[in-house]
Amino acid sequence: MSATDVEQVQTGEQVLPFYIVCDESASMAYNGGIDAINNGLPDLHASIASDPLVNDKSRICLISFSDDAEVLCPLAPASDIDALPGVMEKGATSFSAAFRLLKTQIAQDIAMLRADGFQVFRPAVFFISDGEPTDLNWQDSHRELTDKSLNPHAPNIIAFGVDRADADTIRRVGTIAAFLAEQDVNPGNALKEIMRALTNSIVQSSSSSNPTLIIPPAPDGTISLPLDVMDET
Amino acid sequence: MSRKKRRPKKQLIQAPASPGPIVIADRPSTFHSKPWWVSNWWNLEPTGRSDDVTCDIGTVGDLAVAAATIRGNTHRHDGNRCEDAFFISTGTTISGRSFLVAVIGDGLGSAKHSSFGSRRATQLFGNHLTASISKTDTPNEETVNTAVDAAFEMTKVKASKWKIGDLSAPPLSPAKVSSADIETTLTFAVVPADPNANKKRTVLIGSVGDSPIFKLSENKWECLTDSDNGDIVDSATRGVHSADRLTTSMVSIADTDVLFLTTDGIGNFISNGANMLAVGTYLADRWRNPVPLHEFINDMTFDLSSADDDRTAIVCWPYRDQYLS
Repeated sequence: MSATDVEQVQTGEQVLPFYIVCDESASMAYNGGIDAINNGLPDLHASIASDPLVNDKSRICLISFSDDAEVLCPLAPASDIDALPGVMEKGATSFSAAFRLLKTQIAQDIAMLRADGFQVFRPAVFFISDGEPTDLNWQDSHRELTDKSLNPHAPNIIAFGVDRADADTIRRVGTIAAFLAEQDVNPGNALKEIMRALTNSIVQSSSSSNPTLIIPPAPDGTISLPLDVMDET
Repeated sequence: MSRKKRRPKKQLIQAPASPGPIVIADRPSTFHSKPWWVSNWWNLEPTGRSDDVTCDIGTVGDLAVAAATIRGNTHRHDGNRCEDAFFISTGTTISGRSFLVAVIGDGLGSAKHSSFGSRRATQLFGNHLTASISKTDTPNEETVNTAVDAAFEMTKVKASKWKIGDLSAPPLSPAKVSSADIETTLTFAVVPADPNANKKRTVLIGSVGDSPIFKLSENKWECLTDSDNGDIVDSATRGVHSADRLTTSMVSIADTDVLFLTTDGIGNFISNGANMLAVGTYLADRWRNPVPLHEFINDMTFDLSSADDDRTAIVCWPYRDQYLS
């Protein structure tokens, strides 16, 4: 039997999906957040695409949210992406829109990866926001996304808050870690460090022989927030 | 007068039909997309002994046995030593029955000295178990399990004892190295080297951690150790020093079966639940019979994206006379 005779059989290659979810509300333009994220995305892309092991094992998806949420870059290996699209300022801050989109998108992506024969590790979401949600009942859609009894594909969420983000809110969004920028730190600078920490987390998580989500240490200018409830990871 | 035609010279060296590793899937991995001597991705362990390939091949009684460890791409990329190990030994009971002891260890990635840990634990356990069984007359399930428990306890104690400067030992005194830093999985099999009358033999297998054992029967791999295949993969595992005891069981192996112990570097790609994956299908075809040493190593160096961990396999073919032709 040659290697080509196994074409019809699934390969079982392992993948770690990462979802980067960015707030595009209007305030993100005024505090330098949009620029910091857009400056960090090319470095993130290059760091992943240039590492042979990380590139093959990880998949990246970029999602933005404001009044609504949209997929800016569908889940793909970094080397298959010419350049990550930038984010831009828009309107309000709907956390529900982001969580609802994540739930459906992750389910679709995992189904597609499994159909293609991949073994999929639990997805990781990096959630970045600079303010309070404008939708009051976001916790419902958050629970529908993260409660494993409701959603077998529930991701691990690492939440980052800058500028006017509330500590209690960010702490509730994160399921395994949450970080808040210190008050006297410029939001743009904090976001620059957040993008770097996020990149390192993806690279280290995917570099290991047995892929394990590596929670970054608190990025410079941020503090780690203790969580109420730690889900099993 | 015509001149005799010269016979063409015999070719003493034959080039392989297809150099390089077998590629599983529709494309090579990024890691293998360039030769190792140009990519800058294939780095040596600075303190020596990268352990890219280790292999034992031989026979005992009617068993043909091949074992090898291959350094994984992750460790090649990072310039680290292979953290897998295997140990195979043979013994003879008082009543003259030969047997094989096969042991595999996968040093935990979080352990600082896992390469030493897996080597030390597999050798201690294998040697002690072989010596204990050799002192029995007619080993049965109870006596062998007693020997296993004793070997396991002894391994946990002695693995943490060395002198600075001992071969491959950490450059620190044992007092400064925690058991977590030498943690490793352990998987083993005790295989009688001759069948009983109905052309089957009873094999004791056991494990702690995620290094599985498979049996190839009718061209399909059957996993003989615990496995959990859900929609989402979990990577947590236990090791020798954090476990109270090994999980053991007795399994029946027919002369036409093949026994296969492996670390998760290969084990994760053999099957997914009841479905054989591409690597499993390929190795089931390749290893239904014993293969030459160089082919065994080549089989183990298959190229599959994300299969970056160290790889170890011990393959045991009973009743080797059936493969004479």
